[in-house]
Amino acid sequence: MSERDGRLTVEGDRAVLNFERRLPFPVEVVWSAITDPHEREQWFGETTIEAHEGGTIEMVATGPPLPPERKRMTGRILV
Amino acid sequence: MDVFEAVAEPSRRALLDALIDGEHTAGELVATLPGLTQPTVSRHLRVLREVGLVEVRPDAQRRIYALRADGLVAIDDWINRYRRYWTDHLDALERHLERKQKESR
Repeated sequence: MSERDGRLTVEGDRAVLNFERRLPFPVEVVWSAITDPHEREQWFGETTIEAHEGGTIEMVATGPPLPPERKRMTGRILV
Repeated sequence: MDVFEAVAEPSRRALLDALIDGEHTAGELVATLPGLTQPTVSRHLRVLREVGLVEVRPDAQRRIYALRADGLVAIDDWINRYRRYWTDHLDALERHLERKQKESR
């Protein structure tokens, strides 16, 4: 299993799956790919993001074929 | 109890960790968890055996415990779905960025 597949660690009572990617593109190009809803839809599907540090992320995965409420994920932008 | 509940308990994870390097007697395992009584450790070992994470064989008067290699498959499969999910999307992000770069040239 390579670093690309995420590194699993246990922090207290929760497991954390860490993914780290070096993206050889200008910062603003990457940021807009993540924060622009139309761009993001092309690689991530239906999501909403508050595009600032500490902002929240809500997303519904396009797969597997389960009801949306089973696939809803939330997150927070750390940097 | 299933394998997920079994490993949710920190002492039981400590017992699994103690068995990574090889098999141990019940007495040795009790010694690795000084904060717990022998009956408590025995109960944890019984749970681990029941969910298939460890196996035990008698050796004269002793009981020898060992990890069962396939015991964690269910957990690995479950985690793998999330690995796949994020790996696939991050790969898609990289492809998206490459496409974008080509288009802007």
